[in-house]
Amino acid sequence: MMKPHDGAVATAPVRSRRRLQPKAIVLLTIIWVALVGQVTIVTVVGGALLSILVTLLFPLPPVSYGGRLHPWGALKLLAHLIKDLAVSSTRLAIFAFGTAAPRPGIIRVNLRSTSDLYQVNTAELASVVPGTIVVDARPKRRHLYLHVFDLPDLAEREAIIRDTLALESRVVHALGSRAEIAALEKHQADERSWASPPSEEETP
Amino acid sequence: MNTGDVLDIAGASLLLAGALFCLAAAVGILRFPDVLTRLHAATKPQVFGLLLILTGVALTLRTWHVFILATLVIGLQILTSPVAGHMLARTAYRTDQWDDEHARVDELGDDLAAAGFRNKADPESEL
Repeated sequence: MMKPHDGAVATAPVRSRRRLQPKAIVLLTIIWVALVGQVTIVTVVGGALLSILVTLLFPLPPVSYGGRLHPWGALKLLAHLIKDLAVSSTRLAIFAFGTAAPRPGIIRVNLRSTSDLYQVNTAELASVVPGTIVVDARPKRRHLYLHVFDLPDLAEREAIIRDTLALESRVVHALGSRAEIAALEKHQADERSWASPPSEEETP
Repeated sequence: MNTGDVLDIAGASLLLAGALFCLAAAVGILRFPDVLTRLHAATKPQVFGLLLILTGVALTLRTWHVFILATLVIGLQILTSPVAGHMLARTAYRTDQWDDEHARVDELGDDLAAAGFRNKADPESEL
């Protein structure tokens, strides 16, 4: 037997998922009109109706997002993305036509941001960063497990971790709120002070 | 030689370069040793090749509709191909269908073992 209180708790997230999502509807309508290629009343209204249908039929879980889009950060992210794609594609093409066998490995990267959204974005983009594919992810500990295509030595492992953390930093700088960017930069500063040899009395 | 010719030539060379990268992706899928390494070939050169080909098409046709469509296709490709790649990679790892003999490190396997899980199919336990 279910108490009314339990029922309210169970249905609350479902109700919030089934509501109208104006931003998603506008975005999907724009995509629809772009696909059709004609701006008429029929395509706009039809696209809006389709978008409402799609958002109601396939609701996405709500994401807590307190940041805003930083155009300069997003541009830098995009430029790096295209450069990374070019570099990794060229490397893979050389391997595809060459005779050298790749030496793969799976390494763990410990992310620093605390949001699901940034972890997902970093994981997405880590798949185009030279040489890696995400095999698994742990949301609680913010771990990503990356399959590295070619791992000649362990110095390369450090380089991959550094690249992925730099990628995460670019994602947060493109999408994050001021507090999140500040927290990440503080984290980076802390790590730098750890990397330089600490004096004897400071080490725990 | 006017601007149109320059753009046509640039578009044609981008098309050719994109086709080469797609070919490299296909050759990689054939030649790489296991599922995970083949996935690298399926996600990266393929996306980059498509990006080059669509840029070439947009430069050759030069209409707004084509430009918007190409941007849309590239954006969706960059968003969806890592997801598909990740799902395949995860499944391949969990069903132990990857070439772990030549792997340098497997920190996921180490962490799973530390947590009490075993990824490898153990033939002795099945006997």
